[in-house]
Amino acid sequence: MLKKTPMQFQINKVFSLTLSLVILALLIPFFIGSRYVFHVGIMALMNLLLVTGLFIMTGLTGQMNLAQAAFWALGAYGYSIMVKSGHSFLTAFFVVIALGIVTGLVLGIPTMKVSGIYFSMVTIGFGEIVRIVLLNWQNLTGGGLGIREIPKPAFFGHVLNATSDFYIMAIVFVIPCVLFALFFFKSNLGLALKASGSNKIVSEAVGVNTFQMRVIAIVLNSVLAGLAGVLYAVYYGMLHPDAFTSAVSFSLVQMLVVGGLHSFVGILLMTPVLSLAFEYLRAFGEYQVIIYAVVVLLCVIFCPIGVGGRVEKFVRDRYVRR
Amino acid sequence: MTVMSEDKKKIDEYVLLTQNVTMSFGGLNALEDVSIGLKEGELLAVVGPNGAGKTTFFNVVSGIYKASSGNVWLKGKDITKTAPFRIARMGMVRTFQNLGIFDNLTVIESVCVAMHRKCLKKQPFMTMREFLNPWGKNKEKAIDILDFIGGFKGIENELCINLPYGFQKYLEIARSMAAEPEVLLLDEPAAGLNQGEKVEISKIIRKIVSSGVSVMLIEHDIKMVSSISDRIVVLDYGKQIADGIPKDVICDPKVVSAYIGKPVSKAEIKPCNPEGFFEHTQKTGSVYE
Repeated sequence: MLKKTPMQFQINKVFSLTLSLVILALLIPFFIGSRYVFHVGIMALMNLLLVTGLFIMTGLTGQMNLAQAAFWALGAYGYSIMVKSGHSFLTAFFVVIALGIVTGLVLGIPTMKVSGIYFSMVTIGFGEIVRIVLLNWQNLTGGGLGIREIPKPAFFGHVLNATSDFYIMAIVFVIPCVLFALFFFKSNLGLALKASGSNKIVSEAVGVNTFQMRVIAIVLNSVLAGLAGVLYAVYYGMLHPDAFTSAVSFSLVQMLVVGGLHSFVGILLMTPVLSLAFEYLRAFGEYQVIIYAVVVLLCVIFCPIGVGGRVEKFVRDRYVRR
Repeated sequence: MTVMSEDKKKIDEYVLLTQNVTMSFGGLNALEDVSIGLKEGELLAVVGPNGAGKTTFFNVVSGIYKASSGNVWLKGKDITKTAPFRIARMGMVRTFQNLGIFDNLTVIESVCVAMHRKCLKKQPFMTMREFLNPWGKNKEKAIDILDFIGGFKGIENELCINLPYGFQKYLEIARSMAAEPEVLLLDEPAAGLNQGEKVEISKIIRKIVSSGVSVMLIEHDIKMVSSISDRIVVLDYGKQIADGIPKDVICDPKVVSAYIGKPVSKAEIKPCNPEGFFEHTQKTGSVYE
């Protein structure tokens, strides 16, 4: 049996520490008890789900996705349409997962030969198509007015109404997804995915089907974003296309870059922090976006490998190269 | 494709065989009617001056380029139009002239990638127990392979990009070996290495051949090539100009001419050994060094 190296101990420590902090952070809103804090918590968790998907697609396989909001919207609208037409929460939930898989395949298969900036352009186009369809397919999506009065789900006879209920629901959604992602990154499949993003030609030369890996990444991202969409629809109870603009997609990419394109630890740390920062910067009125942009810019300039990348590098420098 | 019985015999004789392979880029023929066969357990070197088409030949054989005409056979199967990852899965793995490493993967992860498929079939995801010790079984095997190549003790968890150049070269070979190949294509494994490292890598290559893997090697260092190869094929301007045992090939006036860029007679190549070849090409101005 192999002995663990100091590096492994440290990495495991970093993971344990991060997980403990996350658990602690999740409990904070219950201590404060304010509706606004719960709301911010829900937004942070929703963003975490979206950035986790983005991390798989953009961080691991290197396909810059600039239309995460579109994947998110498809989940939200898919769920709302199903629930409004009388289906149960569970049916709508599984339909959203299926829709995510189909969307991933529809986007992934035809773009098999497109990469780099061209793939980013494809995603921008995809985002616009989704937005225009949502805006113009009046009968199905409600057009510019969107969908209103989405029925609240009930579990064991309890209808979700309080903000804390939705917060708990967000935790129930996000924690398994994050754990799945952690398992996935450390699996054989996750490793092959990471390799295909790192060097396509070399990974093919050792037997990795990079096309398959790309499609898997897009499908996983699509499903995770779809689940975030379900959360959105359940929480807000109404939808409109303006909530899913490309500006939202860009802010999610910012969170990914600041957290670290290759560091899931960074994503876990920085996505909630940036989501909270964005909310609390509202106090600065119209300066909110400028301050947020400066913070992100400073992070990118002084920490191009992301906060998570910096943390991992610190651990590696300190405990491996001695 | 219908294969004549004589061809069939030839295809069966070699573990890897190219038949009249031509590769054209627009009006330029980078390879012209190249027919090279690699026997089981053999170490075959492909040499030639810069621009001879050696790497193009490897790219065609490994499926990165599709040959304009001709065929490539691996273990009796036509792989001319086969995708690179399928070729790798069939048992032929390659390394790259310009370092091909996974920048953001650690040494051990990098080796585990080559083993991912066999493990994927058995277990796509891991159990909770394996979570804190990922790729457990693979890891032990990866350590064995790294030990086989040698020199990686204590740096298994280092990022590939942080390794010294020589180690990155060794790592490429280790990663290829992890895929359990029957045929290994090594594209200039000694390029950029010092004399000591070249001796070391020569030993590693011989060790790989003695473990039963057939190796095709591209290398510029004639001394190294002639000391370790069973057979040498020489390419010049995309054409095959010599094929034989090292002793004969380095004394071939056509080969020496290709290297120095002007005609040379057999009498001028003295002594007829790697040193003589080296001295002559140095004296008269080799086009490759």
